[in-house]
Amino acid sequence: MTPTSAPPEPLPLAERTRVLFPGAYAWLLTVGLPVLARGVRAGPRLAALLALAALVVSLLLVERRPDLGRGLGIFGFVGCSVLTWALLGADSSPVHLDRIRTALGTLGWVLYAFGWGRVESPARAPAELAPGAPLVARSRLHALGLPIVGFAVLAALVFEALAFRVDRAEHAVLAHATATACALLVLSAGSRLALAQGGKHELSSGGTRLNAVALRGAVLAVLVGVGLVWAALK
Amino acid sequence: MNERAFMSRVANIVNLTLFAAACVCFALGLYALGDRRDLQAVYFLVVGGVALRAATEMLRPRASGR
Repeated sequence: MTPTSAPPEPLPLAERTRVLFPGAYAWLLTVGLPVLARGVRAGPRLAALLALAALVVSLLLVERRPDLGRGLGIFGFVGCSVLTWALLGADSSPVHLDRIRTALGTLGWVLYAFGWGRVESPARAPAELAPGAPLVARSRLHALGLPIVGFAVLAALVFEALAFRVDRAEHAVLAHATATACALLVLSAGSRLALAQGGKHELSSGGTRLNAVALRGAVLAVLVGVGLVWAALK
Repeated sequence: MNERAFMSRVANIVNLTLFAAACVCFALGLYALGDRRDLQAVYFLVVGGVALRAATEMLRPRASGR
């Protein structure tokens, strides 16, 4: 039997508090305050109340019925919150929401999600996970590895920032998609490049690597030449 | 430094240069898009894509079994 298939254990008081506070905070900012506004019908208010009740009951139940408690706390609470937003309709559109409050509420939801997760303490770890000799890394990262990764991360952030310069609506969507794609490609290539610096024995010889890039290098040279001619003609 | 080590160092430098060039081209492409220079943006993004592809092509592991 693997440790992941073991039945979930009841949450101790400290962990229940770690779930209750972020949950109540997220509920208050993103569910409670919107339904307390003037003119909101009874449906959304009832759904919001059910969400809060699901949160409280789940934490009371989780001691005796962990599965039911977690189900109610995750699916019941989130489901009722989503139902509230759906019933609010146009009132929950971004136009009517306070940005700061929404951002803080999002943080609350993230903390709530983390609150349901648990780190297995050594005292409660199953017997199969008996302590053994620490694993030793097969190789160390080359000194150039960290600067390369740092450069890739910086480049990815610059791409995302540059996308915000595009002020045309249709082009802005394209710019953000392109920036995200470029950022992912650069991060992936940067991490591979950083790892390759340490693993010299895994790579082909220098001559083979240069030959492998000959065709693309020629294409690149042609493109650069076209660009220079284009710039000169302008 | 023997020839093998020298070639390996040259390959590493070319690899890093291609990667840096790709990053610069992507940034120039997005910058051009912000300045409404669409054709230049496409040009820089294409050049960046080719440079990045070339940089990753150089990272292929050594063929085994020989």
